Amino acid sequence: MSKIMKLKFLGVRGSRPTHKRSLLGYGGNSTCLEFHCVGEKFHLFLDGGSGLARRGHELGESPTHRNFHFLVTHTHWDHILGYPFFKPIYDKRNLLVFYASNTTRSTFNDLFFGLQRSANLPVPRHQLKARLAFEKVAPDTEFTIEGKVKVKTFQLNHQGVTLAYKVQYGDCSACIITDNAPIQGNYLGEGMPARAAQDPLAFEREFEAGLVAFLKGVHTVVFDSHFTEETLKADWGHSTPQRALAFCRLAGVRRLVLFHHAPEDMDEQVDNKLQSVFHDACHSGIEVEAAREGEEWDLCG
Amino acid sequence: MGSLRVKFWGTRGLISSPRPETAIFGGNTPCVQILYKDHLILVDSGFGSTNLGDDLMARLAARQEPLHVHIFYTHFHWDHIQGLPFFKPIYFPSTTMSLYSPQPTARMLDNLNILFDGSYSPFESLLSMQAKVHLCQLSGPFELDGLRIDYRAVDHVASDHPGEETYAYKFAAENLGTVCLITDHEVRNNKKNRALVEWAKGCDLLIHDGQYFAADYLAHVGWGHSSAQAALDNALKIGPALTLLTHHDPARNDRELQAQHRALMQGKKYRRLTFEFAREEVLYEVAKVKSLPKAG
Repeated sequence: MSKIMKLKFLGVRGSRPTHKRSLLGYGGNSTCLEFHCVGEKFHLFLDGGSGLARRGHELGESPTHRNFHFLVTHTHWDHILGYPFFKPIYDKRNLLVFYASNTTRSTFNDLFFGLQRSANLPVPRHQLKARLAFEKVAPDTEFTIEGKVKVKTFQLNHQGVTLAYKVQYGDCSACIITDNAPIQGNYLGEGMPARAAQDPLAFEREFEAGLVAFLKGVHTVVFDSHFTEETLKADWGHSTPQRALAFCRLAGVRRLVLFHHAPEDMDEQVDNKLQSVFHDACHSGIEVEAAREGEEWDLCG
Repeated sequence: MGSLRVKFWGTRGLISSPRPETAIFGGNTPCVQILYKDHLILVDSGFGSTNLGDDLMARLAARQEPLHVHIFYTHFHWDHIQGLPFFKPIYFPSTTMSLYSPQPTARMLDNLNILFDGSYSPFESLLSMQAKVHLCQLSGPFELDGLRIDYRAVDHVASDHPGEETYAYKFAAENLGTVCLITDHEVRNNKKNRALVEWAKGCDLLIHDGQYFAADYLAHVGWGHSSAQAALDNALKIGPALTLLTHHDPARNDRELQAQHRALMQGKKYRRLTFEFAREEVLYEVAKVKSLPKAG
């Protein structure tokens, strides 16, 4: 039996969750993804935006498994605000492991418990009854989860130390690029301005080649396409469908999923973004989709 | 003559719940707009406020009109503040934002500034945003262009910080009516609730926390929210023309809220009341109470 991994979108919005009738086709919850490694006895998530809360409610008092692993890209609100509302965190029978980067400014551990600040949340820290473990992860490192899932990291061009994750299980694979801005003259990541100081063009080439190498041969790439080429504000830390496709072409991936939809985008605007790259993707042999809350994709075959 | 109206931009408590099954009652965290003359007056800035902010952008772009936004905070739990960094007018130097609470301004700043902290967001501080931000500590009733505003402490979960409470607000306009908002309050048989009821008496529109159904409430005693039944019990004593229940539980969908509303309407107890579960983006007129119903 070959191994099967699936990816489910629990939240596809960037910046903040939003609710309006005309955008519920794609969904209004902020970033949260779930990997399902068929037959394994653990849960694996990427980020804890508002989409995580609803999943926690579904899992209820008796989740399928007691081990929960979280790949943390970074600590902006849209990626973390669901953690205190994830039910399994209040049950001492559960183990939650967070893989996250630290910045020079703060540790993930501190920021996580910062959500429990008493003026902002009436739940004291001691009520988080689950066992919590924090694994510090740097860019360009490899590790495995439960000895089964191979994970690699890469630092993206976004504020702080924002990580991209490559997740491999058997022949199934995906890269998740939640937040990434064009690099040309725009160095947002911690340490990047210093690395670019000597020779900016060389740094930009190195960054782009590094990202292409990271994506190389992966089955599915989920990529930030918050903006269009017309609305792009590079210093806000986000990308466009065209830029996402350009990386995927160079890396020879099978499928591109547009992700991190702007909260202002109604269903129609997301449809338009998809159409804006559909022809070019098709001619490059890349299947292109726009992430839709609740949909689940196979990551192989 | 004018009018006094309210509009909910967010009706959902705790965390956003955007899904097709919540499309009728809404899925954004709390924000209520008080529509009085041309003023922009909000209670709380949950994610609902961002939809209003997006609408205001059209006004900003078309008329280059400076905005003055007044926000009254009931308290600083995430769901009641989290929309502030995403409220677009805050990115414009032509905007003035007056933020009010009975808390000392240093506490308000601490409690809001975490939203603008460089680790959680790409900002540095609330005070370094483009808009002019004024923090105002309330120290008793005051008047805004003929609108009288008053507040009163409610029964909600306390923070570690002594004296940090949650507040109900009352907005009263001469000849137009009175609105009372009691959005995070647990109705219990105690002095605080009795005092609150006395204070709210005579209002025309009552907005009241009704997060739970009676059976759910039993599992959440002490969490700082009321059942719809307990909210209506308060409404019977307060006697408004219309009661709107809000702070819907994120787990509840439209069908469940509609069924609950029908069940409550069918009972004898609340027959004297006109009440609804609040819906987002619906305008509610404040209708004057003709005469107070007899206590029963």
